[in-house]
Amino acid sequence: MQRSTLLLLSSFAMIGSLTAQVNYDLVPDFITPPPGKETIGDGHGEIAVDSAGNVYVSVQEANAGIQVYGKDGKFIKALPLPASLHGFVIRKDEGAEYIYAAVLGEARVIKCKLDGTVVMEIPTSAFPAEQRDLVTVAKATGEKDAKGRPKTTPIATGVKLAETKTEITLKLADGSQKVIAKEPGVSASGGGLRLTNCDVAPNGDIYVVDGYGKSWIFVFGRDGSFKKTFGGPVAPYNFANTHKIFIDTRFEPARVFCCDRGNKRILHTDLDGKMLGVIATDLRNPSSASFHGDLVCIAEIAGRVSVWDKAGKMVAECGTNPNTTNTPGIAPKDWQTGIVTSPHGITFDNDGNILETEWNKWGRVLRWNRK
Amino acid sequence: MEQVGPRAPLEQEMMRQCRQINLAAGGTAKFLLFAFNPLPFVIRISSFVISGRPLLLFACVLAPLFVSAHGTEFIMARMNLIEDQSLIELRLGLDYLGNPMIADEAAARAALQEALQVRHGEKTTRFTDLAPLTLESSSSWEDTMPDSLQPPDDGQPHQIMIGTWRWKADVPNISFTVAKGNRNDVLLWRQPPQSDLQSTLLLGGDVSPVLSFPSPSAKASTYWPALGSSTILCLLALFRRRIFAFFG
Repeated sequence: MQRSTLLLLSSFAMIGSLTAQVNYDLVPDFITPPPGKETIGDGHGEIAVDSAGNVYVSVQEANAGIQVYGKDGKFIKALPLPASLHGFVIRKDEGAEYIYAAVLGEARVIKCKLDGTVVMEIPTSAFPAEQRDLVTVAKATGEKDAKGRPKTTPIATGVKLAETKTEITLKLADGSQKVIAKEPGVSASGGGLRLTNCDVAPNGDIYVVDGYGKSWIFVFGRDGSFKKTFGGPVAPYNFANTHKIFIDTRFEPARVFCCDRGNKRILHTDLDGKMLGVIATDLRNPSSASFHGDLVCIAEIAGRVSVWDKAGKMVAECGTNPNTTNTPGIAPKDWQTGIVTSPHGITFDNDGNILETEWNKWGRVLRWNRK
Repeated sequence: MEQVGPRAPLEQEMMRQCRQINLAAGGTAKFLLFAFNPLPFVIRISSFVISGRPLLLFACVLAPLFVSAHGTEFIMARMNLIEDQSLIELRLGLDYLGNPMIADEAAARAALQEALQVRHGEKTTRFTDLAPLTLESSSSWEDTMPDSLQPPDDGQPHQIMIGTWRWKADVPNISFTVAKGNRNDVLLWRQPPQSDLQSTLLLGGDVSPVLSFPSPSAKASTYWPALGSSTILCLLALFRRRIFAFFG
C-alpha cells in the first residue's frame, strides 16, 4: 500500500477517533457530608444512582451502610444496612427499584427496597459447599508473632466435609479425603466466600462474585435459588481478584462484564459463562464499572478513572493520579482537587455524568460532568 | 460492531493518542504541571541518596491498609541498607492463604522469585539472578509489613512466604521495577530511623525512585588524586624551604 494512502487512512482513523471522544469537567466538592461530619466516613464500597437521580454511597458504618444524597449532593439519610456493602447495584425488578448488595463481611447477598427494607436474602448456606466450605486446617506452633498472635503451621486446605470433637475431614483439591486428628492447637479457619459484588441479568438471575476469594461467579435465580458456578482461578478464565462483575446490557444478549483486577484486565463472558474475549489489558487494577448508552466508565484503584466505548476503545480518562495508588490511607489534607486516590466504586448518573467513590478511610466521592 | 478480543495495532495507537489528548479531561490539567516535571529532587538520608520526582517519591501510606482482607494481594518488600549501608537487603512477604492472587505455596514461591527486577546501569536484571532469595514460611508477616499496616484479626487464615535477598549494588544508581505483565504488585517500603514510613506501590512496568550509593570507584577516583596532590604540595613546600634555606 502506498505511504500516502496509509497516511490518509490513518488520518481518517484519527478523525474518527477524535470525534468519538467525550470530555468531562470536574465538579469540585460535590458531596456535602452528613451533619457533624467533615467527610462521609470509611469508604470501601460502591456508589449508584436511582431513577430519581439520588446518589447512594456505601460506607463501613454499622447499621448505616448506605448514605443517600440528593441530586445536588446534599445528604438526605442513611439506610439501616450492614457495614460491609462492598458492592451493590440499583436495578428495576418487576417495575420497582431495588438495591442488590454483596455483604462482604457476612458472605451473603441482600435485595432491599430503596428505603433499606430487606426483601430477600441469599444466605451463605445457599452457596455451593465446594466453594463455601473451603478451609485451612492449621496447628499452633506455640510461638507468637510480634502482635502476640499465635503462630501456626498449615496442615491442609480443602473443603470441610465433617468436623467432630476428635477429627476434621477435608476433601482435597485432588479429590481425595484427608482426616486430621484434632490435637491440641489444631483448628480449621476461614471460609471460601468473600463476596464483593453482584448484578442482575435481564431475566432476573442474580450474578455474584467472590472477588476476594477465588473469583468464582455464582448464578442464582430471581428467587435466590442456586443455579450454577463458573469462573474462578481455572482455565479458561484464570481469574485473579475479579473484584466486581456487572451485567453489560449494552449488548444483546447481555454479557457479564468482569473487572479482573488481579490480571489488570476487563473481559466479557456470556450469561452462561462462556468466555467471549478480553476487552482491555494493562489497566490500573480495574475495580468497578458502570454503563450509560454505549459507554462504560471504569474505576481503576491504582489511580485512574477511564471511559471506554462499546468497541473497546478508551475515549477519556479523569483524575489520573501520577502516583500508583491503592491505599485507603490518603488523608483529606493530602487530597488534590480532581485527582483520584484509590477509585473503588463508580457510576454514571442518568445524564451520563460520572460519580466515583474511593477506598479511603475518611470517605471520598468525586464527580465529573459530561461536557 | 460488537468487538471483543485483542486490539489491532492501529487501534492501539489511536488509543494511545486519545490518552494524551484526554489527559486534561475532568480536572486533570493541574496534574500535568508536576507529572511531567523533569527536575528531580534529592533527599539525603545518611550516606545514601534517594532521588525522584516530586510526588513520585515514596508516597506515604500510613493508615491501616487492610480492610476486610483487602490488600493482602500485594507482595510486601521491606528495604534495608545493612553492613554500613553497603548491602541492600529486601525482606519480602506474600500471603498465600488469604490471597485472591495466589493459589498455593508453590505459586507464592514462584511469585517471589519473579517479584522484582533491578535496573543497574544499562541493564535490567531479575533480582534473583543477581543474588539468591532465601525463602521460609511463616504464619506472620514478620518484619515484611509495617506495623501500621498489620491486618486485623479477621478470622481468615494467612500463611506468609518470606523471602530474604541481599545484594551489593554494582553501580552508583539503581532502581527496582516490576516486569511489565507481572500481575503481582509490590509495595516497596522502608522505615528510616526517626522518619516516617516511606513506600511506593509498583505495578507491572512501574519503576521505583532511584537509589544512589556512594560509588567505591568514585571514592577511589577522588581519594588517590587528592592524596597525590597533597603529597606533591608538601614536597613542593619542603623543597622551597630547602631552597630558601640554601640561599639564606
